Amino acid sequence: MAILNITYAGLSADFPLESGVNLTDGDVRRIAVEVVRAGCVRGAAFPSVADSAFDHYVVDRFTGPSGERRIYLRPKVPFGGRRSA
Amino acid sequence: MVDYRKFLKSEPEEVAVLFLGGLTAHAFGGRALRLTSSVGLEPGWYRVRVRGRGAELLAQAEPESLEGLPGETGHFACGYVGMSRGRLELLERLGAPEPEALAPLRARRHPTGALLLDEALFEGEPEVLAREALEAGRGLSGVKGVTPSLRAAFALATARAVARERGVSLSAAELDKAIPRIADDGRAAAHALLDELTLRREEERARIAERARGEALAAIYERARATPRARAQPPRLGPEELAERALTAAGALLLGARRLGPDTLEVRYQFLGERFTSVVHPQTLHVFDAGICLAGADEEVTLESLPSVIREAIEDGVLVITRR
Repeated sequence: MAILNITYAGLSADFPLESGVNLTDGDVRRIAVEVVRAGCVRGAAFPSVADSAFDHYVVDRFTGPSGERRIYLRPKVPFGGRRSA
Repeated sequence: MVDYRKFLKSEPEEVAVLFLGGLTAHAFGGRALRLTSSVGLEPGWYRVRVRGRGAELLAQAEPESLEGLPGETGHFACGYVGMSRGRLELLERLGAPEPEALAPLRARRHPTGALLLDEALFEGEPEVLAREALEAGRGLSGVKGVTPSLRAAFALATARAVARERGVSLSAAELDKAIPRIADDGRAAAHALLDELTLRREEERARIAERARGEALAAIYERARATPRARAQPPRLGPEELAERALTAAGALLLGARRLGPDTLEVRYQFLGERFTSVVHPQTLHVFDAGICLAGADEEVTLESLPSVIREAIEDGVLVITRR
């Protein structure tokens, strides 16, 4: 089973993905829209969140210490600066 | 007066039967008998003991003569017979040795429809020339006296050889319309058929996978819509446990945590061989200070997603640690 962790509006929540289907980044974003609209992120509902709300979010995949798959959907953040070579 | 012997069980009788699969065995005269078990049983001749409506298997039996059954001639290839109308049919050998590829043979048609191997026939020049062409990978164009049954067997033998080399499965029924082409042109035509079959199978697999994916996604969307908000409430854990759970899930190691105030928790952790310190909300894990330079976007993430951010910064060579 994979876990989708969504970070939105400075809050995060896990959403279990029971299916064994391989999700594309697009699928992950679409699921997140439904989850956030339903109020699954810390109980806070954002019913009017746009379909495109997560278009520019980063989808990152981790494998946990017990082998469980975790998918992180989070905002793209700027970094302070590039180090000189 | 009723004869009491009618009510006594009849004596079991032993008969020879032909077993072709399933749970039914066939005695000569058209009698079908239900076997008590046929697990692991190969098609062939057996002796059975008949008890009422069931038959118990005893041992293998000598083959019975098939002469009473209608005969058909053809050519053998890969477990099939090329028939006179140019079709391929599965051959039941009943334990007999496998004939040579393209060998002419006589088969008998059992009332069940099964085609049973009867006897090998004498080969002529067309069979010899066809076998040479098969070994050389050529087609049969120009070979005289080739019957439709030999062409069908040749096409199957050629296509199966190519399929084996390519690691592709091929059933005789999939060959049907390509028999004339492969019989004429040999391996080149077999490759063309396998290319086409492989493409169609991949398309079908992709269609099935896409449909399954669509159904799975629809179920996830539905579940997301139906999830009660109560389930989405954060678990009742202490701040340190919450931080540890979030970091462990992402492959990071909590080193320590301390309260800086009622709504601030400083968390020290190790991730990808480096130590980091972040200041977060003790319950929501909302980040106030990531401890790395995020150009003021710290509050967009949480301690749960921060390891992903750090990983991106390291991979892109833009990590700047601001809090130690």
